[in-house]
Parts: sequence; structure tokens; C-alpha cells
Amino acid sequence: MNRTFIEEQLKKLIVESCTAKDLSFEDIKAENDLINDFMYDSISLIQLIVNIEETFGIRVEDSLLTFEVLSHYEKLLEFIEKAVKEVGGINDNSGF
Amino acid sequence: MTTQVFNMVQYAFYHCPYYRKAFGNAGISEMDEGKMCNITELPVLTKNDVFEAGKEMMSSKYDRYPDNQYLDIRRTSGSTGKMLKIYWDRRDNARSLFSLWKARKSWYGITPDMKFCSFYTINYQVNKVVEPVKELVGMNGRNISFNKADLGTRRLLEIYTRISEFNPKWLTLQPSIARLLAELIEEQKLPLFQKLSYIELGSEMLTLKNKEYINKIFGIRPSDMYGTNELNCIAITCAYGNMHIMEENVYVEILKDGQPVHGEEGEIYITSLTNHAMPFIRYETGDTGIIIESECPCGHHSKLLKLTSGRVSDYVRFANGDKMSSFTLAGIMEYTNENMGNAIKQFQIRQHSFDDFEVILALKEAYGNWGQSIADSFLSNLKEPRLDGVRWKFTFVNEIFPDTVTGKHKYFIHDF
Repeated sequence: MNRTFIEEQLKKLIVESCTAKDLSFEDIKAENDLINDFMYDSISLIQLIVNIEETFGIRVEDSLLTFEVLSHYEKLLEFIEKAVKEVGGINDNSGF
Repeated sequence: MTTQVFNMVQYAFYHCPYYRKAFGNAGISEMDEGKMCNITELPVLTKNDVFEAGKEMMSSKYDRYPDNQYLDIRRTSGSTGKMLKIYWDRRDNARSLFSLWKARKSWYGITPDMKFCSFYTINYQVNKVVEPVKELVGMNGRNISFNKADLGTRRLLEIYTRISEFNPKWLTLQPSIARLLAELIEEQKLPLFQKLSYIELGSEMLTLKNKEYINKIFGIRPSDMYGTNELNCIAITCAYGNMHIMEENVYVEILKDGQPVHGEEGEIYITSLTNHAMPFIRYETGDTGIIIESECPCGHHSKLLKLTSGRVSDYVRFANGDKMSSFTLAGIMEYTNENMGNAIKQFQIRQHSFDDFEVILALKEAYGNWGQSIADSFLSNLKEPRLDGVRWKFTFVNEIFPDTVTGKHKYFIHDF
């Protein structure tokens, strides 16, 4: 599973959990802060964790996932990449 | 002092006129990292200090754009009888509540997509208090929040039926309301809520007696969430029954006669690590407890807090044996206050007999002659039929003092 695939999935999850209705994939940039830029709150952040765990097949440990990591898009992406690598990746069979 | 605590103390010193003055009075004229002071050198903050300081408690950063657009306003629940307006930066609030949601998720498997029921005192719509309604539906239909007013048997039965139909995964409510609901279920031999797997109790001290009774009726060991509007969640019990301090959100101190103590019971003081709009440094909660530094089998490494005293809610009593949560009266008082220019400084309601009530009010100086209008407004907001025909006496004083024995300020007392 490559970075592009993870990034696509993550963007999809961010749009799904976001309360701002007009958010699209193109709006999400590396430097974005989910709280400041996309009106995320504590509830949507936790829902995002749940969705990340389900989609990527990872278990997010409380101690590893800080608010700073979770609220920042680029840091979150890096966190998931690392976590996915540790569990051996998920099966990317999209389109086949 | 940890870096996190120091950062907040330093921020408060440089941004809030109140702290600049208060720390200055304590002999602190600068706040550099190289000269990190001990937190015990800083003055403590009481509810009265917050009340008197008013806007001086707020960070000057929020006087202007862009930060002022992120402000959320809340009022204290009135459970201390002292009306405070609390400001939160929406972003800080998210950070602050994040640790509570993390605990719910990892300890109890509770996530935001699960249905839950709660109870509310004040109906806020975009930072404004509006007239209460029987129930509010929120979170895209996943939450029903019932008005605490009118928790008589008939209404409670309606609420029970509504909860049964809604079939929530969890409940968050005050111990006194959970007890009323449990008593109804037991007395009327009602079936339990099918999907219910978690009960979170908060806003009042959870007594062992109530905890055991709620556990017995619902078959669920309730968690005890200790928090306030000013600080959000301070601590919450894990599945092992130990109350963990939310160390990402608050720093907790225990003081006895003004001095810090370790492993001993004392008064609980809190420093918020997240609220930048209105920092709370060494804030007196009025509760007592002990910090326990031992490992919990749950694996979470934060310090443990054992509450030894806290707010307990009383009930309004009726001649036919009915009980009503005193939150009802606190809610009406808050609603009245909001509609009367926030004129009320403190209040206390005393029930002298089944049909004889006294409302004691301390008004802000500028509103000294508003007494009658406030009394009329309060009475017109009472929509509880069981209070029809009772006598109300309004007494105006300069200040309401705490109980001389307990040192606590109770907003509702029945003395018969």
C-alpha cells in the first residue's frame, strides 16, 4: 500500500467526519489543521479515529495519538503510514 | 512546575490583566523560562475572584479579530449559587474534551456514532440562552437531551418511554437524576433499556450508596466523571473504578490550610492547561480529595484522584411524596438571570415547608432596584404545575455566605 492510497483514504475519511458540508478532497492540504481549518471538534476527531482504525485495520493507542498529531493533516498522514507499516499493511484491492 | 503548566501560567501573566495584577501582588514581576517559579508561589483563585474580575480574567488576545470569532460562552450551572460567565476558545474546547472522549473510547468502547441520552439545564443556541423545551435532539439525531425541569413521576415515565424507544447505547446524567430513574424502574417494575451498556454520572458527588443502587437497578457499574464548566473534565473513573486525572487537560493540586499536601486529604485546586480565552490558574473547586500515586490495573498511567466531598444535589419535596430535582429551580434562575441582564450575583432557594419557599438573592450593585422585576420574572418562568399555589418570599441581601459548618455554598436547601 503506497502513500497515495493512504492519502486518498484519509482524505475521504476527513470529508466524511467533517461537519463543514462543503469540504472537498481538493481543499485538504498538507499544512491544514482540522480544528482551525475544517471546524473539527472533539467529537468529530474521535469519530475520525474510529473510522481510521476500521479503514486501515490499525489500533490507535491513546498514548501515541496526541491532539497535535490528530488535528494536523500531514502529521496524521505520517502517523497512519507508520502504523500501517507496523501491522503489515491492509489489502488494497480497490478496482480488482 | 512542568513546562505545560508553566506555559499556561506565563500566558495568563502576559495576556490577562487579572493575573498580571494578582501575580504582581504576590511579588512576581516577570515570567521567564529561566526563572520558573514554583506554582505554590502563585496566588489561588476563588469563584469570587473570577466574579469580581469579570472581563479582566479574559485574555486580551480575544478582544479582537481573528481570535474573538472562536469564542464560546457558557454559564456555570448555578450549582454553587454563583453565576459565572465562562469563555472558551472553540479550538481549546475541542482539545480539552478530546481526552474525555479518548477515555470513553478506550475504556468503555463508547464512540460518537453511538446513540445516547442526557439531561440539560439551560438551552443554549449560538451562545444565547433561549426558552427551555422538553427535549433537544442533537448530533444528527444521535442524542436526546431532556430538560431537567419537571422530573415528577408522570414526566419521568414519559422520559423513560422515550429513552426505551430511542434505545441508546449510553446515558450521561447527574447521580440524583439517575437515582430518580432507577427508583421509577424499580417501583413500577419496568424493563431495562435494551442496548444500554454505559452510564456516565457527573456534575454532582457520586455517593457510594447511589453508585451501588444505580448499579443494582441497571446492572451497569456507572463511571464517575468529575468536571466543571470552567475546566471540562478533571478526572473520570476507569473500568476498575479508579478515578484518573485528565493530565492533558488539567493540573491538580491538593492544599491543606493553603499548603500543598501529598497522599493526604485536602481541598482540590485546578489549573487548566487548555483554556486560553479565560485561564484558570490554581482555581478553588470547593471539593476535597486525595491524589493517589499508584498504578492502576487498567494500564493508564495518570495519577488517581479520590473525591472525599463534592456537590450533592437536593430534591424539592412535595406533600404527596413526589420529588423534583433542585436543578429545575437552578435552571429557571439561570434563565431569569439571562433575561434580566445578568443582574444576579448569587442566589439561594430554601424550602421551609411543602408549600413555603424563600428565594434569597444578592444582586449586582447597579441592579439594586431590579428586585421586584427579577422576582416577577422568576415566578413567570415557573412552569411546574406542582409548584402552583406555593408561597414564594424574596429576600435581598448583599452577599450569601457559605454554610458555617461545611464551608460550602449550597444553592438549594430544604430545612424541614
